[in-house]
Amino acid sequence: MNATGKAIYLDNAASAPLDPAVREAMLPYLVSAANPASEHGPGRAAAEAVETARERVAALIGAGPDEIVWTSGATEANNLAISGAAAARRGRPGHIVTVATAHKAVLDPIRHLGGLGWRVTELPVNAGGRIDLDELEAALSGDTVLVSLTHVNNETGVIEDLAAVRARLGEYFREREIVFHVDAAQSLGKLPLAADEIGADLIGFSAHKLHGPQGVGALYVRRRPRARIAPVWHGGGHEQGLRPGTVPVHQVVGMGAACALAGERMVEEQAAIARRRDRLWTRLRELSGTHRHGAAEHTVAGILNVGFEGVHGEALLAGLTLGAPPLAVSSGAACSDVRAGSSHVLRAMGVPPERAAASIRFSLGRFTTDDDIERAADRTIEEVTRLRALAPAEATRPAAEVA
Amino acid sequence: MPIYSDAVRKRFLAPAHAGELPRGERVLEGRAAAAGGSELALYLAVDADGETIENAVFRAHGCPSCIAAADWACEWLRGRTLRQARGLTAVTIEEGAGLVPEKRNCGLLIEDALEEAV
Repeated sequence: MNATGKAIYLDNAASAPLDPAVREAMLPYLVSAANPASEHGPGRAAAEAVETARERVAALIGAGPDEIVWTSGATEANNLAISGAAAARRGRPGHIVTVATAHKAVLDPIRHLGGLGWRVTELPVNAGGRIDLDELEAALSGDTVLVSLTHVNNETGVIEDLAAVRARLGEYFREREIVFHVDAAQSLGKLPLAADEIGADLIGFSAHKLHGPQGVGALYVRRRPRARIAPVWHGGGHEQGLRPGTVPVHQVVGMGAACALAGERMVEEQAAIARRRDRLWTRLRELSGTHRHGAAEHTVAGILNVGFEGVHGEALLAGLTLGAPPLAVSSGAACSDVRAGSSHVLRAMGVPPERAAASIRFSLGRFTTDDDIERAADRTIEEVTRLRALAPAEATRPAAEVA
Repeated sequence: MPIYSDAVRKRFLAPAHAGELPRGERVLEGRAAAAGGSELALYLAVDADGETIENAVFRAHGCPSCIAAADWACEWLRGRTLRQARGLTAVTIEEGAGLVPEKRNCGLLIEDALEEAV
């Protein structure tokens, strides 16, 4: 019995189940791995496995192995990028530009710096979920130290046009020594991602979004020109002095294996996932009052975010997750509490609060089947219909949303 | 901490008293709305003397606890007098329906709708 149980698992953007091939690659190092920093034979064997894994991660993003720093996940990678860029300024506060729809693993460390005297600009997004390059350019000023953008939004799957950012502002960033950070937790292994095409100095990744193990990630740190970043933790000089702590060999081996698999399969796999995502959307549109959030022409294959009119958000999520067959889906990010209100991402895109609260993120992965899609669609249609029928007549009128 | 007790989960997934009653002399209707967008409509059918509640059903747009609490309240109201109905408070609903304390406001929504009805 696997830990995701009998639920129809459509929460791959929160955590994608470990690929059995990745598990096989990890097991020998879970059972016995020496400290890769040790100079003896077993230590050197462990170090060799770590370096092979590093090469595999680097290969997936067209980077050099010496540009990959292991972390415990994307949250740590993004924190290291943001706090590390700030630390490189030796305490002199400056200005940071980010986007209002960024993940909390980006917004929270930036807001923390805001509390320490940094000036923070959170760029708005349009209804399709993307930033406006004019607004990004206008936000930059003489004291801008860091620009932090999201490659693929975790709630909507909207892909930011980073090539356009680089084309317009890459030169400017370089001249002004502005650190350009990208959170790529949701794009690694899903989209072709070449570090030099993105033009970022720092890129944060996670393994468990691409069927690797939980608890491991990486930060790409550009070598030439060297990204201006200082360590946040201190204690042993591992990872080029940027991230101390014994490297967990089985975890990074798993991330390397997951990256290798994703690299081999990406084109074919993402096409199959997109086809299933489209099928799910076609089915859900059998219901009236459904809205897809995030412009379809620039969303990643695996994420479908749908708002349902005339249902209460908490009841919808509970009905889908507690009903039979249970669906494993999220309302916004898995980390956000449904009780705490509707998604900051959807609100930033101008989605009305009630519909933002009644939105479900369906996220597909390698192991999602056609049957999963049909059953999830059947169940969702049934539940939305049930909840609408339960409501007093006025509450179900789609016209309620016009205002 | 689970936000829904087993009792709430069961009633939410399969409420036995959801429905509407056609307007008429012997049907009392009460509505209430809460800030979070929740809405509740209660329908009570009383006997010829106008004393005893013969049937109670609800419609609700709200969280699982609101739906479960409304379902519990309708069950409780059936066969009781209007006087007893006036005495049904949010505290009793919270206990009876198995709400967690943070969902106490669902009981208040029912209290409000009931007040309007009777």
